[in-house]
Amino acid sequence: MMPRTLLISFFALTLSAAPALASDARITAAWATGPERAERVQLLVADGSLTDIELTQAMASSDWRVRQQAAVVHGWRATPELYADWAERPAARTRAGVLRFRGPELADTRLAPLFLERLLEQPGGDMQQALIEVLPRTGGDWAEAFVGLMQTEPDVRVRAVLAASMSDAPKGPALEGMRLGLADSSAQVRGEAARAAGWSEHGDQLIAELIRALGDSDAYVRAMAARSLGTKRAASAFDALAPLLRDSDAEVRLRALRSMARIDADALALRPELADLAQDADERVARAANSLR
Amino acid sequence: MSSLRPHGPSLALLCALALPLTAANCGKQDDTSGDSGHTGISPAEFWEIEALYGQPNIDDDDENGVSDWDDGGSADDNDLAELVVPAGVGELSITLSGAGIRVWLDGAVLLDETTTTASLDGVGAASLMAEFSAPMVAGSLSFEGSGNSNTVTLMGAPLTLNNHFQVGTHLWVLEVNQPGYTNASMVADLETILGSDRFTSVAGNSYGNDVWVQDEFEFGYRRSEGNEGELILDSIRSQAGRYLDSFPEEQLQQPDVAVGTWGNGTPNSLDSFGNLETSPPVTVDGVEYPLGRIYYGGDDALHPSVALTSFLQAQQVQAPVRPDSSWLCVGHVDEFFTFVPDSSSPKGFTLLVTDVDLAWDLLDSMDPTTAIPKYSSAHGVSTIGDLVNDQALRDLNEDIQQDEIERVILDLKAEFGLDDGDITRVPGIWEENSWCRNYALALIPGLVNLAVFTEATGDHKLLIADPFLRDSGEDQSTDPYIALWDSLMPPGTESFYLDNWDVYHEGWGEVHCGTNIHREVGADWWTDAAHLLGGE
Repeated sequence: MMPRTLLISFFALTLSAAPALASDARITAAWATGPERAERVQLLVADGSLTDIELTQAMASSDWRVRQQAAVVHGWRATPELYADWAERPAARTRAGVLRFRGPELADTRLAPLFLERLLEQPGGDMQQALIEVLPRTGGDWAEAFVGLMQTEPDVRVRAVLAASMSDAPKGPALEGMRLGLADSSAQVRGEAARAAGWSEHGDQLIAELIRALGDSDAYVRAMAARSLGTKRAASAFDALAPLLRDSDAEVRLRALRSMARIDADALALRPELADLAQDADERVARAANSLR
Repeated sequence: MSSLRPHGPSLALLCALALPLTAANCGKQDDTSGDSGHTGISPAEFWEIEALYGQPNIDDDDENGVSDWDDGGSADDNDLAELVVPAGVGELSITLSGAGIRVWLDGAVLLDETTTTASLDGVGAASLMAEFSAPMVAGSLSFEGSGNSNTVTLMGAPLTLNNHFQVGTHLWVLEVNQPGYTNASMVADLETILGSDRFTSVAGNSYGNDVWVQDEFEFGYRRSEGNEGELILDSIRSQAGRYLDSFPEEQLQQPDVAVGTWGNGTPNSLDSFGNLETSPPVTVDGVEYPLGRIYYGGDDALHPSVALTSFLQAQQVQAPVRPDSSWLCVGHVDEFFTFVPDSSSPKGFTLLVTDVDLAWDLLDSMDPTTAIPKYSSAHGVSTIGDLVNDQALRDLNEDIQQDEIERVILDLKAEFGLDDGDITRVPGIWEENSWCRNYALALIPGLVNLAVFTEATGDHKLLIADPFLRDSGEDQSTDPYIALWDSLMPPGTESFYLDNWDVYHEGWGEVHCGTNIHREVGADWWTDAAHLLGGE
């Protein structure tokens, strides 16, 4: 049983562990010397001196870390069988070899704290990816956590899928996460953020950022930015897309072509580049250009 | 057992010289001392023999874990091909050229890679038995004597893969039954449809719950006339942390049923055999392919192991085709097109190809408030409206259809000799997944990713994913997607819709990926496809 003073101390530390303070040496030391994360949760679950009222208050915190800690403790108390089941349930490999959780029960917001806790405990690897993939499917509270993780995650591949997940996030975290992604040092992350903007219902607020991304040094970023601008039917991007019709990368030329057609097919048909694109070395580009002339 | 290819159209000679050791379909094989030699072959005819084909001796009759060829062979092995030297040809000098071939006489090795020449007195008839180490291994046997000479081409039979027209004899599936991860319904339905004698479900936990049995191996044959040796092509996919690697050896290998692997290197998803299929018999630019053509997906950057594709090319009789499947997440050809029998078609089949417009037409005609609860956790959509109102999803599907599928259709028309009348477009909707290079996955279950079980009666059972485009509690009769699909399926087929959602669809595959069907033999390559030998 964790002493009451320690519980208070734990929550105090948790409350203060906002992203801005993540590097605080005092907090880092306290976390490093404490019990393992999973043990800590179970101690709090078992401690009756931590009331449900306190948990409920903490679950309404503006800090996702506090909400997460409170929610996972609450989840273990309120739905112990559900949590025990999913805490151990393995993911199965997809046909492409990727670990993935399955089943209709996953569309359950109550599971989000459990999966997020497992994610925070994970050092990396296949299961980390499976947990990131499943969290949006719960419909629960995950988006702010992903934005937070994007700022600290060293693995580019993980940051990239966190950025990609922003397509399903609510407005605030979605915009913050996609902007973070578009400014990332990794082209892979920038590309995923640009792609997510096309899928997100809030992506039309990122038109300026996407137009800037058309000038990215990486072809994947340019291609995804071009595609998303077309999906958003961003008329203001039409002229900015035009130079990409002569991009050195065929995927970029194709995405620019398709997007310009979606924005203004009549104007595209008048573009002189179409004749050259109809003879493009890339079969897909040539086919698309011919169909649009 | 053996196949002999005589000069010209001398089928009588072919038949006479092609007797298996234990069969007598062309005549009795018991005269070993008469002047005319075996089965009436004259010395003059002996000098006209052009070729001897035999099936590679790569099974493991004594089940000691070593192939019979590697065991040193055996004179009484039923995989040897017989070449009769009739009495009266006179003294013969024989020379063997080529590696991987042994020639037996009277129970002992007469010729091999180290002993390449021998003599026969030519007084009595002799039965030379050729043994081949591998499919398509080739060499020659030269005879000289009495002022005559002849060189007989020797060749191990090719590996031939099965197509959907060949009669199904047995279906295999892995059974898993864990909370949230069970295919019990599909397994039960398959047993009901096929009967327990034609259906085996193997406990999935014996193989790490790796349910993708289609991907692990491909049933085929190494036949030569009179002998129907099987050859199961084992993939290299299990080198990438999969668990079915030992399945062919443990469940299927037996005397006369060989298992072999030809790929190498680090496998990618395209090395799985959902990405290795065979068309029905086709004619392309006047060239007949009686055993169909093999096809596997990929592009120049991502493709199956070159060692495997080179091997398949070398088999010659099913000249492989490589349509572009690189735009797919999993990357397998079975995800977006397949051939099914069609009794109303002059060619006997139709090619089913996914078409997004058909799907959108159906979805747009539906009440947008229609609940589709199965799609909630898997795809994040709860109603038809969530699908039809998603502009990004529509754009993605338009791009895939125009930039990828239509381009592949042109290739398929050229490579399989098809016209528009040979193609049936079927509905499908794609999504992209950031865990899979953002490449395409079936959003609505890929019904085209189906298994065909052909009955000896000529009827064809289509085993198809249930699309669940309906509210929970409603049965298949209310599903408009099933109704549309039923209206498109050709006569002579019967469709069965199986619940493959949790284990297969959510695992990025469908019914075909989770099943594997053993089939009876197809066309005889040594007669029907002999014109393809020697080509590229």
